Amino acid sequence: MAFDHSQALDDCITLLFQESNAIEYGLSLAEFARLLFDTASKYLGPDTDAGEFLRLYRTLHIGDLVLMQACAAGNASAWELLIHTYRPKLRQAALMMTRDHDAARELADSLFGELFGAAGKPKLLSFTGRGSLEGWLKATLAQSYIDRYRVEQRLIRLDDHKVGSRAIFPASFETEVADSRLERAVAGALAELGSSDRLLLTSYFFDRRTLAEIGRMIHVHESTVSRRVRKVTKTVRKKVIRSLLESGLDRREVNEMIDSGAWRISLDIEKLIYGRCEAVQE
Amino acid sequence: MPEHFDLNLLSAFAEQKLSGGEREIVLRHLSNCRVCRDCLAMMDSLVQTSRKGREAHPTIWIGGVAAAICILFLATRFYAPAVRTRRDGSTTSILQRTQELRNRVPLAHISLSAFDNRTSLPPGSDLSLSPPASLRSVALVNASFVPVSSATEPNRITLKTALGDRWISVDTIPARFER
Repeated sequence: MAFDHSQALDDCITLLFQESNAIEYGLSLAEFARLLFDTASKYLGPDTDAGEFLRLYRTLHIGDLVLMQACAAGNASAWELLIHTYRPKLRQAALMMTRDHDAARELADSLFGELFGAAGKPKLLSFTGRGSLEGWLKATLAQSYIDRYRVEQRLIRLDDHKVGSRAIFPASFETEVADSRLERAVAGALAELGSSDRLLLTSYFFDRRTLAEIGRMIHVHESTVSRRVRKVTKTVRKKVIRSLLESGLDRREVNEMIDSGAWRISLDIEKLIYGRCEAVQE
Repeated sequence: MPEHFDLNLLSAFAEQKLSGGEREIVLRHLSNCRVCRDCLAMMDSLVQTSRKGREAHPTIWIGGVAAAICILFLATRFYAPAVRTRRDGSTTSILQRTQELRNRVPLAHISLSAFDNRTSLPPGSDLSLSPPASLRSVALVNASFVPVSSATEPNRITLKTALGDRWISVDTIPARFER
């Protein structure tokens, strides 16, 4: 869809423009309309009709979106509002993550540095208003913390390896190659699962999250998670057995293989389930 | 810095703002990406922690108010410089008044018992030491309404006072009232 709005869209944009504080930040109606269109275009295809644009516009956090645009444009009052409103919240959130005041302050403040773009495109321009600004900032903070944590973990491991106090992997660790038939059967069963069920399994068995945590993550009750985990596990097991039987093994061999080999292929299952973090162009 | 999934969608997912198609995209990604699952879990823990904090606030607030009321009451009761005017025109604070009452009250266990006249007032014991007005105060301060004991017991006396048709029993007799 080209940048040519229908009358209904124009009315909607005008209304949103009036409701937002875009005028205070010196944003014209045309600039505001362009901002909405560019934002929506990140999520909607080129052939999307005006109705979809309309629905998306209505779900956006317009006030937050305008604020971030104003900040990117160097509006002093917008900056002040952003810092005044969100820095204490981010520092508090960082403190909950790091449990250390200095580290929390450093983490939160470095995020603000990234937002305003010490180098390259300011990160705050990647905010699209799909969720609240506070939620997006906390997600960014959490991701930043996880990245740092992973880097630190790697450094510690390398350091340990160098001084010889602890090997990266236990000396006795031997990768036992699982029977390829079992591996194929498991991979096939997992591939047939829906994304929601795969998420349940990975969160429960590999991330070791509690049912309550998973429930909050996907917005269902923990008893529902419990039922679904049981059901999915049973389904996977059935599919694996059926696949192995179809491959020519008899029932005794299948049972032996599952009983003896399940733990050995656990790492391989993780590889099968975990993909690389799919980069989505922001 | 590695490229990441769109945090706009992830935060919108956390806030339950996504529709079916986009929610499915996020679920599919989450099932494949441990970093984003950790990120989402961390966001959830932040929400839970701040929710607990918010829920704790009313308790603290109510507790604070209750404590303030207690302190105010105690301060008014004992330390407030409230001034009362006596009948003779002199003034006294509540604290002073309380101390005076305590000093005047004999260390006796006083109890009221209506219409008990087994022992009459000894001659001469006209309660000049404890005039009726102060006896009322005494009775209020040491309000312990135990039954009047037998008149045959030693160290007990029953006095008829001006507090209506009532008898006052003094369990531990002050020196002035000894038989």
